[in-house]
Amino acid sequence: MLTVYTAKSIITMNASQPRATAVAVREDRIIEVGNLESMQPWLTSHEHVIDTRFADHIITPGFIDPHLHPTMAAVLLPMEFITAMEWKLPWGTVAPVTTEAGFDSRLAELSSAIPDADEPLFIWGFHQLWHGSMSRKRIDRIAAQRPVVVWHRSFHELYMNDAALTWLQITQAEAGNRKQIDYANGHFFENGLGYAIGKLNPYILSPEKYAHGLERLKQVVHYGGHTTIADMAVGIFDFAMEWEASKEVIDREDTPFRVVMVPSALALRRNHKDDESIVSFLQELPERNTSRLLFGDHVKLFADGAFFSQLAQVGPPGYIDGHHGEWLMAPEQLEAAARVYWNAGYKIHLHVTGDLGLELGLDVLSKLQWERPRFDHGFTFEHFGFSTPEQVARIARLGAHVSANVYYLHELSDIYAREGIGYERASQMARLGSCVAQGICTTLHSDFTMAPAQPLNSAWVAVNRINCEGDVMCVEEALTVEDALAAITINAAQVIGMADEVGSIRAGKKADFTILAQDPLAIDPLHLKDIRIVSTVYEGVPFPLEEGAG
Amino acid sequence: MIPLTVIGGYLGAGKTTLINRLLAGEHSRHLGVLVNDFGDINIDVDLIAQHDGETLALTNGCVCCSISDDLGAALESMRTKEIDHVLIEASGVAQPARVADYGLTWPGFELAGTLVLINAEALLKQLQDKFVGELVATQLTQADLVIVTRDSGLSSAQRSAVLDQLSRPYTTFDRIAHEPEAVFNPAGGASAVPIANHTNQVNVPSTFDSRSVELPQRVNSALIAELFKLAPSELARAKGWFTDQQDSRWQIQYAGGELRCEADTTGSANRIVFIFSADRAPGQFDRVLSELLML
Ligand SMILES: [Zn+2]
Repeated sequence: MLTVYTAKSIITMNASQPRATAVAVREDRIIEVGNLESMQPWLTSHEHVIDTRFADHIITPGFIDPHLHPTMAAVLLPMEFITAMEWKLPWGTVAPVTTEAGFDSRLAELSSAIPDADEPLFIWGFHQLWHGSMSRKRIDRIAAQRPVVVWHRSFHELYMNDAALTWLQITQAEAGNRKQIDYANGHFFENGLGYAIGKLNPYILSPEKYAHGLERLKQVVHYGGHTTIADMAVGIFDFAMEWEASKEVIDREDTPFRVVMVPSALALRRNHKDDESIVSFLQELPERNTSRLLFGDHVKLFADGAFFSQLAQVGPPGYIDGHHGEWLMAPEQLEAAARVYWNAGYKIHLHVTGDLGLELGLDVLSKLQWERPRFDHGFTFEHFGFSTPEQVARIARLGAHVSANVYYLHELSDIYAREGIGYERASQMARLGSCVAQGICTTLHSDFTMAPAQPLNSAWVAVNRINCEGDVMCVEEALTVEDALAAITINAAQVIGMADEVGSIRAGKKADFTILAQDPLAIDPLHLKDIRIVSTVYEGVPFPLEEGAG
Repeated sequence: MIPLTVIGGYLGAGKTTLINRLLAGEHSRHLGVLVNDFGDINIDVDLIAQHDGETLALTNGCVCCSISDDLGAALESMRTKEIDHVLIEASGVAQPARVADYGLTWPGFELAGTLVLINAEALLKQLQDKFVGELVATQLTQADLVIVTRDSGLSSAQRSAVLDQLSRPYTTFDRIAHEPEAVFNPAGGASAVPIANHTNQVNVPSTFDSRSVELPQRVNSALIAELFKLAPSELARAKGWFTDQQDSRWQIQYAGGELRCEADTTGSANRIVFIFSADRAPGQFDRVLSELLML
């Protein structure tokens, strides 16, 4: 039985046939793309139904996020959000709270909504700029009996009330008078935060909590219109635990997407003696593959530090205040590890944030290409915060891909211009127009929870380059809407090794679609992020979205 | 409170060599040593009491534990053991001061100080490196005590070029191996070991009148013989004790250009004391000596 979906228009992302109005599907595959007349040879010889449920809508290839972290999301998503920015989540939009009093009354409301008076409450999103100064006493005044933990928006500090300290058995005798722990205020930061997390871990990472978080992640991924994502660092917490939880929660019929699993070589070093033994481990992984969980020939490595913490390694002239970024792996160790995976035929995804990190990655790739040339090597620079035009040309010459977190530009370009590296370089972060001009396979990712897992939102930033203050930053590096659509579909598929299967709408590929209420190529690009996502189709099965999604 | 020493320094500075020495050495302390990579720990099997994946317990009461990305958890596990002093091997790319903060933050610990090791052969090149130059320079400023390693092959001009880069008190690897007290009290180490507080006109400590060298648990007796064949004319006398690879104990004496070797019945020391008559430039002798120590 064939199902033929008709649409106002189908954006195929197949250059040989960019537009269509009907797509015929058998089970999980596309049989023919065109219009009802052109596909008559199929329709006359096979039983079929014409499904017009999307007749007023636009069909695009299912969106792909080639880099996010289900593990981190599983930890964050069970928490309650009280944030200065609006967050659209599948279970409701979090209204912005921008005052001290507003924070307290929202906290009181959330606390009183939980019937069990002893159940711990976790809040995420506090920021002193909007919510005033936080303290143990302040939380106690609102919720005295229930353990309450308030996380800062940055995740780099937290506050606890009396009941939480008692619950976690953190005593004055032990934690009073220590650096980076302000016991009187219940404030834990830097290494003190590590101490608090050690106490919280048994609760946060308990199988039930974690599974609940993954369930919520499933909703978030569906809500963003994805049909494929890549977990770009399997093993961050614990490889075996993450695999078991994924099988339990993701590998089910009700999950409207597949996950390409890219193991973190850095994490695997914890229980493997060297990279050679990791290669042997990686080679066995594809045998575990299920229809929704896919290991392949990809591996993740790391160069420089977190972009959000200004720990990216920046080349001259560096940061305004003179501080330096950090390396996550020593350059020699990175080179040695990359050589092992390169020579074993793996596609290396290298986390780089600053231009000096990128420089190191390019130097390593140059050496590897010199020693043992490879063509379709799939080496991908992940995140791609700061770069130079010359580096972009070098990426092209070396045949590498770029997977960018373009949301950096939206959230950070204003503050980094003022308090990081200055306007010139801050405005040119995510130098994507140059990448496309150089013919580099360029894709966009959310790195969720670093940015909202909404490909249309990422595309909106890449096309408009508007930051959180509403300023346009370096319009010269803007993508066209076509390029941005390619970035969240066919190019993303290419970067995670799935281009033969997904990323465009043509005969033979998986029947993965995202259904939009408006044509992204016809509307004002300023409204790209506001397009309503009506439904997704995963392997031929429609998964509708509630009104208001997108 | 358990005192805690951070051992920092870039790759190849000799952190693991120092840790291997301290784990197996004579210092009557029960050490808890937290390392990044278990694979590099090289302990005589006779010394291993128990090995369970993440932790290695030695017969001398020392414990070695892998950090596995979670220093806090590793520290927490030390609190339940009978440990007198904790050593943390900072990763080659870490800023030692950030690691040292654990000694001020983590309940149950106090900071004894920070050692930063430098590879004298590589330092000048590292400081010029576009990727790690700033990092290595920062590491140097965060030391209570710098330990200079792999310096024996350098000319005195090369050596002073290296020492010119140091703004913190320093000592050499050989001295630390001989007098490990400074490891346990890096900030106050000056009283335990003669430590040079480098200024531009300081004497370059390329030679010592008397130099005592702690040997590994077992040494190759052929190397000992070779060492003394290469003895410079300034070597006046030497005396020492060692265990060879067949587990036999020997006592050696060197005087007037002659080496005497006899079976040792006195004890368990593994050490040679050299007495030099005058300053001299390092040469072949020092290279064989460092080879002996690295084994
Ligand atoms: Zn990431």
